[in-house]
Amino acid sequence: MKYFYFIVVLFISIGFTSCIEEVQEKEELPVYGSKEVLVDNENGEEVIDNITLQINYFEVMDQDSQIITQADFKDKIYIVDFFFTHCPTICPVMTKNMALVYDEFENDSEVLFLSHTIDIKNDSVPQLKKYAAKIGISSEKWHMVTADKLVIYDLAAQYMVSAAEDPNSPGGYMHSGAFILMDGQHRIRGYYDGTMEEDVMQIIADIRVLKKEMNEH
Amino acid sequence: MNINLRVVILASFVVVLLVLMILRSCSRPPQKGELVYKTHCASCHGNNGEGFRNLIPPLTDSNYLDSHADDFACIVGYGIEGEIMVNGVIFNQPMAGIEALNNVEIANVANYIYERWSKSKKKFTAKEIETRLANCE
Repeated sequence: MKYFYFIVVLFISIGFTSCIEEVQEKEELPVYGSKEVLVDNENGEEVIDNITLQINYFEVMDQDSQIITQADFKDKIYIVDFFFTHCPTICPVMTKNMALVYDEFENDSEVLFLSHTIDIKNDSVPQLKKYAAKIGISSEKWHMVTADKLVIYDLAAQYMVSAAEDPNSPGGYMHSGAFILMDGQHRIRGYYDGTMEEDVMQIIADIRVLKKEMNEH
Repeated sequence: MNINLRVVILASFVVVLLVLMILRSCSRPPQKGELVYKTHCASCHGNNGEGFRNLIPPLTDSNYLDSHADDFACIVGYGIEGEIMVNGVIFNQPMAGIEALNNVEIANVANYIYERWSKSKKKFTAKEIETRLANCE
């Protein structure tokens, strides 16, 4: 009997030592910000409040000096992030992870990438172009964009990610390392940690789910 | 059931379980330097020091390693910026210093990197790292 317990404990410990990260095959992705929320109104009654999150129309300029608008992403699946080219910490790894997703969908015209610089001062169009060249990406597929500072920071707020000037952060800016998955109707369908390679596998799986959804409708 | 048979069955159980545990655990326990590398370096420079295209330099250029052994502590501790030539390619992407690392950890990761990719296989001591760090530009 003693041995039996020993074996049971062994089995349990094997379960805990497993370290394989599994990519979840989702059937359906959530639509962020459109959930119905129960709130109390002033009379103390529960009413349904519908918070719809939408990204407003935008115009930005990419590494080829093309004006890019929200219309360019209509009926596309796209991944959004915020970065700056001389970022000494998380951006290189975000770029690397984004490039892994890019490689996976390189020949798929339904999937696009949109990276916003948050350092308007230093990241001119030529600087963005230089950065894009280091990774060897096509500007038709992966837009690295700049715009008026207020436009960029307002977009970050709409995507609900942080981006701010901060003299105490390495490189002078503090920002989220999130990748945001968007659908063809400009709705947020997923958040991922752009600094984690495991999240790359999940985002690739989720893009396939979105593609199926798009092609069914 | 006789005692011998029970012992044999139990023993084979344990052996199978041990083999399973070894197979399922990630890998051998990392050396200290390898652990520092995986925690602080690998996400950018890659598990095999391969770097990333023309954005992040590889760590596999033994010429660069051996000619910059004296700078290693300062680069890791305080970061680096400006153009550098690695494996015949010019890189220009700033890297922040890793403030979280102490002298011992920098020495461990230096030994790991130099063991894997340098020709000199230089060995670093924590004392040496401390001296270098006190004299960074």
